[in-house]
Amino acid sequence: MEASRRFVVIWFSDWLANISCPSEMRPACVIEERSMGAYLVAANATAQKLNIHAGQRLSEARVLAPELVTYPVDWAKSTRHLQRVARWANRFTPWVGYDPVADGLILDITGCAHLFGGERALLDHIVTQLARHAISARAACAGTIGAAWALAHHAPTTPVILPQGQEAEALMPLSVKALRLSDEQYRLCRQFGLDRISHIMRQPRASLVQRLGAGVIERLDQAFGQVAETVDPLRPPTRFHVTHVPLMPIQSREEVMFVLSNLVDDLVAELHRAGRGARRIDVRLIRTDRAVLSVSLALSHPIQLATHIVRLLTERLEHVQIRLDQDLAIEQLEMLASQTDIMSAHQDALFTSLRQGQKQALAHLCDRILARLGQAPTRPLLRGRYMPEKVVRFIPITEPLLEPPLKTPLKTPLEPWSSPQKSEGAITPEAHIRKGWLAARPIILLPHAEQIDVIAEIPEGAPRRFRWRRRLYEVVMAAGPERISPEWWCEELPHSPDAMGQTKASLTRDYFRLEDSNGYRFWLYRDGLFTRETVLPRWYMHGFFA
Amino acid sequence: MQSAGSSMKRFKIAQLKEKLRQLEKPILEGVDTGFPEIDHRLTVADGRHSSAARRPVLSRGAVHHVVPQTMCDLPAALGFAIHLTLQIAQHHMILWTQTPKARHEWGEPYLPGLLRHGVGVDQFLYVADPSARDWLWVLEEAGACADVGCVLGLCAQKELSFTATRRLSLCVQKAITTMVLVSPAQHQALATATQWEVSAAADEHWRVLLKRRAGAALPPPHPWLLKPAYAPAAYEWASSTSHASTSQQEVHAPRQFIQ
Repeated sequence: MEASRRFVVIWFSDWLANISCPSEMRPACVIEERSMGAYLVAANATAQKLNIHAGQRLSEARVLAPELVTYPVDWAKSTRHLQRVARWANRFTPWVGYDPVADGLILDITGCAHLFGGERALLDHIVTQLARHAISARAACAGTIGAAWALAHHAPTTPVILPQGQEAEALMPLSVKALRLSDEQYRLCRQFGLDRISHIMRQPRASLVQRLGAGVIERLDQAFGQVAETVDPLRPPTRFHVTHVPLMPIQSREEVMFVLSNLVDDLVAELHRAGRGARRIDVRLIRTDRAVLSVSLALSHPIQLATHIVRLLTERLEHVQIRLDQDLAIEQLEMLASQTDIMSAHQDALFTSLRQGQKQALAHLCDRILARLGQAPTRPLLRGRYMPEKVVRFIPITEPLLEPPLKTPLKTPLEPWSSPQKSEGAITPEAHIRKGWLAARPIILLPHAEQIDVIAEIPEGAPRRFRWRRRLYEVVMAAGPERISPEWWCEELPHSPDAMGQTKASLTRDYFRLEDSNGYRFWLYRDGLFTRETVLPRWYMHGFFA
Repeated sequence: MQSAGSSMKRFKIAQLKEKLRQLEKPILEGVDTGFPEIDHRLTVADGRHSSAARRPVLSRGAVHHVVPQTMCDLPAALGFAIHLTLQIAQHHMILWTQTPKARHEWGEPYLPGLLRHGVGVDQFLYVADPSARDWLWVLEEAGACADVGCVLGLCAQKELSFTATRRLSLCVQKAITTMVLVSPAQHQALATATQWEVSAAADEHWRVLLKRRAGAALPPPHPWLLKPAYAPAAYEWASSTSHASTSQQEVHAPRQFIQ
């Protein structure tokens, strides 16, 4: 069976240029700002004719072509587009993976080519379709990934189809680079005068391993099929996968939901047989124009309950725009449980504890909120930090939902909200709670501290009156200051000085608790120690007491 | 004969189950506010002095509404609402959700401060930033969840309507959960069981006025001045008379600015 596998390697030869400047006729390049200046990471075809290539400095390239147009590199966009192309390629075979070495895709088309009229037709189709979207691609089909890769990258013309067993003749004249060597390995080969694959083939293997390392030999064996190599598929095959192809394409949302609920039943039945619960469910709706609409549901705990899944799906699809009409209808629906967990069996005993059912209720609530808002409810995590805004972090409820109960917070050092300067020495937070007093902290904290205008009697004292949000407050009572030092041990290096000549990152804060004449209670701070850290300390409003 | 015996057994089991359920059932009727002033006066207003037949102030399966007198009173109103929430939820989960506007204007709940009010670290859930419409949806869903002890909803604008609160009331009534809403006074009357108007008062007090109490007599409109009973702070306010020993005090010790 191994001998009859067929792989297609597609290489997007001008990938970054294609996606960054698709319709640019002038010489153009994609640049990345590095510490040493701007460098080219790609150049379009026009620029390449002028001998401009990736890796050059921008200044060098400008000498060659003063009219060069530059585009900043966008790696995120590149990844996004590559994902889209990979999803598109899924139509040829379910087994599509990214090329780990270059911008490209690897397709395992074993047993798929005849559906598209043979390998030649398939490759032509792929290349022309990509060309229509202004992506220049080189493709090759061979019995091994290595051979297909070599031909896609280094064959004089593409697309190439290499029949089984002819790897040797086809690869012999190619450069050793075609073996997917690292820069270091390639340099070594060149040192030994091994420019072409035929040169390597002629050498005795034992000495090759000694001189070039085992990596080169492995690549060679992979190309010639001596060592098996497989694609890491984009969509891992799953056991729990149900599909429905309706007789007539579906045109209404209600029908889609109806079919989906039937699919859920099938899926749940499969899960039930395997004793597993779904943790993640992916739904793919394929429209007649081959557009794919994917919806994923993440679940906080393994689930086999069809009604719950249907409810979540309904909520999720409510927010999804699907354009359906006479011409655009859904012709295929797929549902798969891409993540599953072993379902712990519940025993319905005489004394079914209420609590069990209740926990389930909370978990279901979290699922529904996650499905509708796209984010799960969060719970606070107290951290051992000094800066008040960093003490609490809200983390989404994930797998071990409330169980085991959160014990950590009180164990973590809680100096931030104890009073570090208190004369009684080091007091643990537990002791604080036992003693019944905690450092005064507001019940709500502004997302960003807001600068305020303050009038204080003495520069280091508490404010006398202040203006916040265009309103003047007269301070009647004050407590403080409570000094909170910057976290030098975990702080980013100070940023460049701002307009006032201050460094922004780390200043000591003096917090004051104030009550105004109406009884409103505020928590505000002076940023920076007077004269020691800053000339003109600013004041910020940070929180509110009940 | 055997079938009759087994059905008898089944009946007995059902009976026992029902008995157990009765035992396990939480107090459904409601709770008091925990402020003796309020509870006592409302008892008097109800005209019943015997504690056995008393009607609790905060009924379960209802929506309670806390209104800040002015916008600046919102933190005080929130503090009072947290107090009520804790009375209702006891050790059960508290779910806090607020609109993005409220977050922008007033910020997010801050746990170290809430700890002082008695909120437990592991009983707090926070749903951040749903849109105004989703906020109502979250309230409704959480209100229908039996495992949430009390839902606390905060909005900074006129997001509530009679219809919305009516829906929420029906929802919590069905699931016998309780909800506390904090919002500025709305255009229209709301379908809530109680309505409290709260403003901040000097020296860490709240001024609380009961504006509405469904199906019961209202006491004469006379606000309560309440001092929240939370854990004392590590350092306290300077009182206006105790400026004797300022010289010995450390830098961070209380200061006082009123003569």
